[in-house]
Amino acid sequence: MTGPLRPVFQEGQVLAAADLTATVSYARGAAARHARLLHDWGIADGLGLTTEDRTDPATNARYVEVSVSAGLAVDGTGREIVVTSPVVLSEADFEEVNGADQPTTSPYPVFLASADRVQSAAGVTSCAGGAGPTRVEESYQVLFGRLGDERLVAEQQPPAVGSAPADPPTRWLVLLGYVRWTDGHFTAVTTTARNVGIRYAGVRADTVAARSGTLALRSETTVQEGKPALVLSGEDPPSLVFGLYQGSGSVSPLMTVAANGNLTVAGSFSGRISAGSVLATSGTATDGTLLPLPAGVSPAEITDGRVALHVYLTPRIPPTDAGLNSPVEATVDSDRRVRCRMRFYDPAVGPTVSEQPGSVDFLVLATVAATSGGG
Amino acid sequence: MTLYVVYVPDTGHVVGAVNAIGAALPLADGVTPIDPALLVGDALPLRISLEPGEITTLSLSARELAVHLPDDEPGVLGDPLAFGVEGTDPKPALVRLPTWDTQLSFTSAGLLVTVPVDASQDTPVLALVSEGQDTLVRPGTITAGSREVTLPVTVSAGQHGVLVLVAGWAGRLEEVAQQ
Repeated sequence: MTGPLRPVFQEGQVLAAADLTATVSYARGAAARHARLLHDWGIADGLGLTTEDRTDPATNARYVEVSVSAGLAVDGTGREIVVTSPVVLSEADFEEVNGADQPTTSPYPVFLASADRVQSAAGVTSCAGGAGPTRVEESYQVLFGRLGDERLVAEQQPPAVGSAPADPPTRWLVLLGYVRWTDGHFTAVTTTARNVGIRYAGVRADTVAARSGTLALRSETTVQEGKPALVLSGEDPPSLVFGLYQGSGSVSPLMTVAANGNLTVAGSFSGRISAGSVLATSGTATDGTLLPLPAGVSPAEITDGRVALHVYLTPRIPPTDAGLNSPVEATVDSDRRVRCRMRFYDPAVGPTVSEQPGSVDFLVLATVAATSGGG
Repeated sequence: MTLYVVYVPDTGHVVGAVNAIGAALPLADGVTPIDPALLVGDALPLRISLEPGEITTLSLSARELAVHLPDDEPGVLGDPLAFGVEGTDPKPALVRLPTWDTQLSFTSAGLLVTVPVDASQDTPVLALVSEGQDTLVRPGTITAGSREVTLPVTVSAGQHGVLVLVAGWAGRLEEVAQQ
């Protein structure tokens, strides 16, 4: 397979239709390769399914009229699909595909695909030349799928890198969403069904560079208050900020990494304990209870040895007006269960001693040993 | 510090307590109950000395327990059985229970539990009795107007560890002899 052929022209050359067509094809091919290989295909703008409430005059049943809003998609062949104005979905077209189905609440997929419409010849025609069409409208068609056809979207294979622009009838399905169908009408739309959702256009880049010195990533196409953003700022001092947009359009920081490496978070921090750190909890526990672990330490980390526990116990000697209280036992077993008993003896009463459960003051330290691999 | 008490919902008695700061224990949110297993494991062992060198253990399953986070009450850490959790909504209260020392005894019909005064209403009773390595659990009720109940239990001769929980009275953990 040869590479792309760029037309060149010579003085005095007779320009045939093929030469002019080659000029157009060269440009189309370059644009399609760019769209196909530097971007991920999908909806770039608009093309949402919108609804208008309607009432069936015959049955008085409520339903919705579904339209596709104007917009642009790029399909997997690199072809742009432009919908210049809203399009009302045809119930007749839907019935032609799915009308024989049993009633169901499952949503049906709606696709957009490219379509070429040949325009009639217009203007001056040569006596020597043919009278064929001189324009092709790069149009589209809205297609209804059967239940489950949304899986076909992921099975589509893009053309080879050097392939010429794929013209219809080569069909690439772009999922627009789903419609529900009840008693001969559309009743609702949705963007996801059976774990398959709408695919939006993306970009492939190993480097994204900002001209202004500040690079922002946000979750919406426009700045919206309360929505998240990640801002890499090259201003003095440089910083990386994750936060939420405020009404003013600025980002209120929730997490900031400063140029000196300092990390500042507005919320709490959780995660694996870093090597060398020590976490602690302290308090008092009665006989038979389990000593709690310090916050941030899980039993699994103790079990697998990632975290070592150091436990210090002091038996609590109950105050007494007469006699003596002394600890018989103040330990903790491998399950972190407290074992504490107190012995009471009052020589004024007699030689009898009694034993009762006691309680201990505890300090539990959890440590993570530093390893050569860090941690 | 946050005080966690583990109690028996049937009678309200506190059977264990942990007061801690910086612990990996959940805080009460008023919606999700705290799992007693976090504080006692599968079961809370209550140990009692029968003879020098001999200790028996009464096992109280975590499934029979609940957790309450009361306001600070240092006394509950020294003698949990002297406290009870009373009421439910909007927040249960931790109260000190009156002590009693009426003798507990085994009869031919079972374990006789007698409180100092007649019960003004039906009063739940729960007894745990050691029999060898086993723990025998016996619920019962002191009916209104009565002051005693015999919990049907048959044990071998000798000393037995007994935990008696009578609603409204301090819990008792002691040894009782079967003749």
